[in-house]
Amino acid sequence: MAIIERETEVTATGIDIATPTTTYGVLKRPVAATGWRAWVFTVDHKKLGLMYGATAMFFFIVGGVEALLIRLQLAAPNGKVLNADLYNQMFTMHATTMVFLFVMPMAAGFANYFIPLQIGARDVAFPRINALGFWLLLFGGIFINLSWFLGGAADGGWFMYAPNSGPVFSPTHGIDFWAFGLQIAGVASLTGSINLIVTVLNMRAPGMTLMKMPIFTWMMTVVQFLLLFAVPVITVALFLLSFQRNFGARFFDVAAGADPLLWQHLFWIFGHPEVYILVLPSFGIVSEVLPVFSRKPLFGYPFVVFSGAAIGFVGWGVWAHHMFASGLGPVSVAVFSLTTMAIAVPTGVKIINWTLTMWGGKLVFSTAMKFSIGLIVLFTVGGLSGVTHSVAPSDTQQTDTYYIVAHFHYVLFGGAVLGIFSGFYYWWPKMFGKMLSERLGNWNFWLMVIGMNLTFGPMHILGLQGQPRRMYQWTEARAGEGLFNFAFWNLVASIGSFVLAVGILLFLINVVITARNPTKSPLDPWNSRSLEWMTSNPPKEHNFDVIPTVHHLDEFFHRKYEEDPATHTMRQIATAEEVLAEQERNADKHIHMPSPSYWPIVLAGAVPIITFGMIFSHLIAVVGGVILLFASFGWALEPSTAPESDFENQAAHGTALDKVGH
Amino acid sequence: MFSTGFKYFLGVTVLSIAALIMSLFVLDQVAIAGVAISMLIVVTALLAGIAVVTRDGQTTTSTPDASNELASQSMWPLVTSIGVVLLALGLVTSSIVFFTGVIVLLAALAEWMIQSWSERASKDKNYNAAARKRVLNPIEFPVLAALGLGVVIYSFSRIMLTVNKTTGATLFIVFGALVLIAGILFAVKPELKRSLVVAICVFGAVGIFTAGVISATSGVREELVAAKAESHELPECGAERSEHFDKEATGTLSLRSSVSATIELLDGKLTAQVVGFNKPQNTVTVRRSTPTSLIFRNLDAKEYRLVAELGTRTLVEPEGATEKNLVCTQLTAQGSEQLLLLDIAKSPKAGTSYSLTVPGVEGQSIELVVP
Amino acid sequence: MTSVWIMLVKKSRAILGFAAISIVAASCGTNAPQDTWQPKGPNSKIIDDLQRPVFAVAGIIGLIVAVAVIYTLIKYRDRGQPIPEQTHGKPALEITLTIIPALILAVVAVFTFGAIFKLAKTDDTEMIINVTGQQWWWEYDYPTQNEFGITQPIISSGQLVMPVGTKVLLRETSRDVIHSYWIPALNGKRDAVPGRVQTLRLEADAPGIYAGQCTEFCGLSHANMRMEAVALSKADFAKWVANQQAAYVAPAKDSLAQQGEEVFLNQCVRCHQVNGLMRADGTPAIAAPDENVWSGSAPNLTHLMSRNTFAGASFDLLSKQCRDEVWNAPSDVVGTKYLAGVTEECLNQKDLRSWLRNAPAMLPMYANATQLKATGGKYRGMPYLALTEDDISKLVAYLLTLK
Repeated sequence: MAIIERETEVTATGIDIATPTTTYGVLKRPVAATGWRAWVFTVDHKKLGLMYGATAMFFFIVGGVEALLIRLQLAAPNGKVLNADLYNQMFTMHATTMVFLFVMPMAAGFANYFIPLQIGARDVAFPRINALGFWLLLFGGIFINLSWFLGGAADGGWFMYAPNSGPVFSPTHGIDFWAFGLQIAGVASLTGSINLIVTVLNMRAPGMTLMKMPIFTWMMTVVQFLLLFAVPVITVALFLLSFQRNFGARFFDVAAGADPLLWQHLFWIFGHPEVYILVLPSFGIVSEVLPVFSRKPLFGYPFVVFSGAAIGFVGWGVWAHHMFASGLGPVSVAVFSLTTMAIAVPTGVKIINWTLTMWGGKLVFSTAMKFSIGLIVLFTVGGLSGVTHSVAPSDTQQTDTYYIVAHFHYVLFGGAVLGIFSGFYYWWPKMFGKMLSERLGNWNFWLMVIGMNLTFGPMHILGLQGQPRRMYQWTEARAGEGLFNFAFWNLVASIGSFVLAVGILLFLINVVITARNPTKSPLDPWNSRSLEWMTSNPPKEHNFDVIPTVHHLDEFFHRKYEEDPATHTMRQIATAEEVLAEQERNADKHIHMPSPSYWPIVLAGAVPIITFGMIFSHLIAVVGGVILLFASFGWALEPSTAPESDFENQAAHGTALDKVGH
Repeated sequence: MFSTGFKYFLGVTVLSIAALIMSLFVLDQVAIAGVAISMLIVVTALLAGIAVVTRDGQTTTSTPDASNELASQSMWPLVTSIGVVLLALGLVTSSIVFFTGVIVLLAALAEWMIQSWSERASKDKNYNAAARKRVLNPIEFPVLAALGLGVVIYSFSRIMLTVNKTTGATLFIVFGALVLIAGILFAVKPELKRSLVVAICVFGAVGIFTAGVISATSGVREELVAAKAESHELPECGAERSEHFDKEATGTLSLRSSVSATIELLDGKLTAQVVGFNKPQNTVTVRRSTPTSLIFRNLDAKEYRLVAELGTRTLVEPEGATEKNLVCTQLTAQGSEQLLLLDIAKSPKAGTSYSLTVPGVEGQSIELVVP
Repeated sequence: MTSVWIMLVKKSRAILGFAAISIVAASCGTNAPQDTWQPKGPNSKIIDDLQRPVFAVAGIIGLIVAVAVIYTLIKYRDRGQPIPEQTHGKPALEITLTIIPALILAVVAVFTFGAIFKLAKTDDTEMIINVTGQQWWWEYDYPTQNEFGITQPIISSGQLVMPVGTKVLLRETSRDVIHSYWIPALNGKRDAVPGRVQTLRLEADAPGIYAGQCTEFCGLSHANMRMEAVALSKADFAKWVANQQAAYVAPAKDSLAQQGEEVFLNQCVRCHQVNGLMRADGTPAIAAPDENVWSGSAPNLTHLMSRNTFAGASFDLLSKQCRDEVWNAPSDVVGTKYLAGVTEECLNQKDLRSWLRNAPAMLPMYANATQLKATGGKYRGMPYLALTEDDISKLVAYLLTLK
C-alpha cells in the first residue's frame, strides 16, 4: 500500500536503530494563548467557566424576552400580542431556556470556575471532557432554539406531558428539536457531574478534609450527585419520546394498552431533583457570601452540609407531589404529602442557619450581601407557599393555577437567580480583576427585588382567584370585580416584569461600564475567607504558585487573622498581599498543565449534526456519525498533555513518540 | 501534506459519492446499493482521515529509508483466506455466513495493511510496534471487548433459556453475586497479582461459555419449544390456539387501578364492579371512541374467558357477508385476571345491544351501554 | 442607616403579601367566579377548613422569619465593632430549631391525611355522571338511574347539570390528551387521563351556576376549554331530566327551520348527533364523528337550546344581558331561569352565526384540511364549512327548535 512512506533519520553515531522525529499520531496542537483560538480550543477550567457564564447569560436574555412577551400578552384580557400556537411555544421555551440553558449552565459555570480554586487544585480532573461538556451545552442550546426557524418550537410545555407531546397532537418538529437538544445538553450535564465529583473527591489540597471544604463546593458536589442520578432518568424519558415521535413506538399510546402517567412519573423523578439542582448552587453561593460580610463563620456548618445532603436525598422521594391531581389514589397521595412536608425541614434549617450566621456579626451591606439577604427572605416566601402545596387537598385547588407560578418563581427567582447575582457581585473582582460598580449595583438590586415582587407577588392572588396557568388569553367573564380582580393584578404583574427587566438591564450596563473602567480591584476587596482569594485577580492559568496546605475551614481568613485570647475577637496578622507574596516566594518550579485541544469542539459539533439527521434525513446523521468517529479517533490518539515544544511552536520536526505516550 | 495514500482514498471516496448520486437517479431499488456504497464512502473517508491524521507518507528531503528486514510472522494471510472461504461459502449457504466473511475479510485486510505499514515505518522495532498499537488499539479494544461481552452474554442467555424458571432466578442471583464479589475483591486489593485477576476473569468467561455451549446443544426448555410453535396473534374467540399463555395472570396486569370496571365470575354468576357504583351492576357504560379497560376476574374453578359481543361487521370477502364482531380475553384460570381493552366507535343499531358474556356460563350477560 | 430603612420597607412587603392572602380568606365580595376560597359544597369545605389554618401558620412563620432577619440586620450592622469571635454554631439550638418546624408539620400532616381520605371516598355516592374530556370540550353522560328519573342515558355537553344536596360522583376519562376537571367552588381538580377512569366527588349546597376551567394543558385552545356546573333543586333537576328525555320534535312543515334541518342533514350530521332526527328516506340519521374527528366524538346537539353555552363552554348561547340575568339570579329562582333555556330573543346570534360561518377563526383548533397529515385527515375541532349566509340563517332557525 501507499501509506508507508515515512521519513526516518539515521543518527550520526551510526547506531543501527533510527527513531523518527515527525509529529506522530496527532494533528498539530492548538497553541494560541490569545485571540479566539485561545478560547475555542481551551481546556482551562476558568475560561470554560466564563464561557459557560456568557452562554447562560445570553440564554437568560433570550428566556427573559420570551417572558416579557408572555407578560405583554397577559397584561389585558383577550391579549392579541401572540396567537395561541406561538404562546404555547413561548411558555414552553421560556421554561426550557431558563431551566436548562440559564440556571444549570450558570451553576456549571460557577462550579467550573470556583471548585478547583476553592479546593486548591490547578484544573479539573478531565479538562478535555470539561471542554466537551461546554460545547455540547452550547450546541444543544442552539439546536433547541433552531426550531424557531424550522417550523416552530416545542409547544407541549416544558413538562411535555404525553400524549399531548405525540406526533398527532404536535405535528411540527418543535418537540423533536426539544427532545434531541435536551439529550445533547444532558450529555454535557452528565460528563460535567462526573468530572466535578472526581475533581472534588481526588484533587483537594493537602489537609482539606471533606468537612473543611468550602460550603459552595459542598453544595455543588451534592448537585453533581443529583445530576448524576437524575439526568439518566430524563435521558430514558426523552428516548421514549423520540422513539414515539420518530419511529412509531407506542410507549404512551393508550390504544395499545399504555398508561400516559408513565411519562409523568419519569419526568418528575427527574424533575423534582432538578429543582434542587437549580437552587442548591445558589444556596452554596449565599452560604459563602453571608459569612464574608458578617465577618463570622457559617453558623452550624455541619448542619448546612448535612441538610444540603438531606435535601439531595429526600428530593428523590417527593416527585409525585407534582401529580396530586393526576389520580394516584389516596395512599400514594398521603405518602408523598408526608415526604414533601419532610423536605421542608432541612430547607428550613438553611434559612435558620443563614439568619444565625448574621446574628452577632459585623454586617457589611455590599450589593452581594443585599442579594443574599434578599434570597433569605424571598426564598422563605417561596418555601412557605411550597409547604402549602404539600397539603394535598389544598394543592388540588392550587395546582396548575398562577399560585404555582408564583410559588416556583419565588423559589427559582428569589432563590436561584438572586443567589447567582450575589455570586456575580461577590466574585466579579476575582474573575475579571475589576469591581462591579456598587452604586449601580444598589439600583440593580432594588429594581430587581421590587420588580420581582411586583411580577410574582400578584400571581399568588391570581392563582387563589382561580386563574389557571398556560392560558394564552384570560377572559373578563372569569375575572371578577373586587379587590382581587384579574385585570388589575395581571397588569401589575406585567408592569413588574418590565421593572425587573430594567433591573437586569442595569446589571448589563454595569458590566459594560466596569469593563471600560481601567481601575483594578484590590486583591481582597471583601475580606474573604476561602482559598480562591489566595491567588491573584484574575487567577493565573495555573491557579496557585504553590498548592496551599489547609488547616482550617476558612483557611484564607485564618491566615489573615488570629483570635485575641482576652476578648475572643479577631485581630489582623497579615494582609492578603502578604499571604500572596508568601505564596509567590515558594512557587513550584515545574507546573504541569493540560494542553488545549481541537477535538472537544469537533466531537461536540458532530452530535447536533447527527440529531439534525435523525429529524430530517438519516443520511445527514451518517455524515455526523463519521465526524463523531473521526473526532473520537483523533481524541484517543492525542495525549492529554502536549510536550513543551508544541507550546513554543518549535515543532518543525515534530516530537518523539516517547514524549507523546500515555 | 497529502500523501499518495490519502489521495487514493480521497479519490475512491469522491467516486463513491458520485456513484451514490448516480444510483439515486438511475436505480429504482436503491436500498441495497445505497447502503453498500454509503458503507464504502464511510470506510474510505475514514481511511483517508487516518492517512491525513497520521501524516503518513510525509516526505521532506530524503527518500524513504524503509526497513529492509524480513517481515515478521503474521496471521493475517490465514485470516484473510478464511474470510474469502466464508464469503464463497456464504454465497451458496446463508447470508449470515456471507456477511461474516465480508467482515472478517475487511478486518483482516485493514489489520494487514496497517501491520505491514507499521513494520516498515522505521528501523526501530519498538517504535514500529508502538505505532501499530497507537493506530489500531482504539478500534481493536472496543470491538474485541464488545465481541467478548457479546459471547458471554449470549452464552448466559442460552443457559437461562435451558434451565427452568426457578433455577434461572437462582443462577441469576448467584452469578450477580459472584461478579460483585470479584469486583469488590479487585477494588479492595489493588495489589492483587495481574495473572490472578486475568485467571479469575478468564475462568469465569470460559465457564459461562462452556455452560452456554452445553445448554445450546441440549436445547431450550420444553415450554418454550411449545410456545414457539404457537401463534402470538390476538386470541380468537374460538378454540384456544395457545397452550402456554399466562393463565396465572394475577399480578401481571399493570393497569390495575382506574380501570372502568371489573367483571367478576363467581359461582356461575357474572357481575360488574363499576368504579363509582357501590352495588354490583349488570350494565357497564362504555363511552364512544374512548379506550376503555375492563378487568375479567375468574373466581370459578374452570377456565373461562370473557367475550364482548359488539354486533356484526361486514366482511370484504365474500362481499356483503357479515360476521359477529367479538373481542375476548384469553382463557383465565381460577383466581386470575385478564384485561379487555374496548374502543367502540358507535352505539349499537336500534333494537340491538352489545354485551359481555362468558362462553360455558349460560344465562349470564352484562349489557354494554354505548350512549 | 437608609439601607436599613429600605430593608424594613422590603420586609413589610413580604408581610403584606401574606396579609393579603389572609384578607382573601376573610372578606370576599365580588371575587372571580373561580375563587378557591369560597366553598359552596361540603367537599370544597373540607379543603377550605384545612387550607385556612395552614395558610395562616405559613403566614405567621413568614412573619417571624422576616422580623428576625430585620432585627438582626439592624442590631448587627457594621458600627465599627471588632471582628467577632469565630463561633461555629450551637448544636442544641440547631436541633431545637429543627424539631419545632418538624412538629408543626407533623400536626398539619395528621389533618391532611384525614382530608385526603375523606375526599377519596366513593362508597356514599348517590348519583353518577360520566365525564369525558376531549380537545376542547367536555361530554357528560348520565347512566340510567331510575331514582332520578333517568330511564335512558342522557348525553349533554358544556354544562354539567346536577341536583343540589346530592353526593355526585364524576367518572372522568379522556378521548385524546390529558385534561383536568375543576369546579373550584365544589372541589379541587382531578385529571381526566385517557385509558383511566378517575373519580371526583361533587356536591353543591345551593342552586346556582359554578364556573370551572380545564387546568391541564391540552393544546391550542386550552384557555378556552371552560366548564360550568349548574346545580338545580331536586324538583328542577327532575324537570331538566324529563326535558332531556323528551322525544324529538321535527320543525313545522315549510318553515325556515325545516330548511335548516335539511342543511343540518347535509352538513352537520356527519359529526353531530341529534337523537330522533330522521333522514328523508325515513332512516335514523346517525352521526359518524369517528370517521371525521380525531377524538372520535362531537357534541350531541339534541337539546342544544337547553344549555347556555356552545362549543364546549367556550361561547355563550345567551346574549350578555340574558346570561347575566341567569348568573346573577338568587338561588331560589336560578333553576327556573335556567330551565327556560334559550329563546329567540335571548340567543347570542352574533357568536353563533360567526361560529357557523368560520369556526376556526373564533377558536384556535387544528381544523385546516391541508394540515392534517398527522391525523390521517381527521379534524381536531370544527372545520370551516363554507356555509352561505342563507344556510346559516336556516341553521340558526333549526337549532332554535332543539329545546
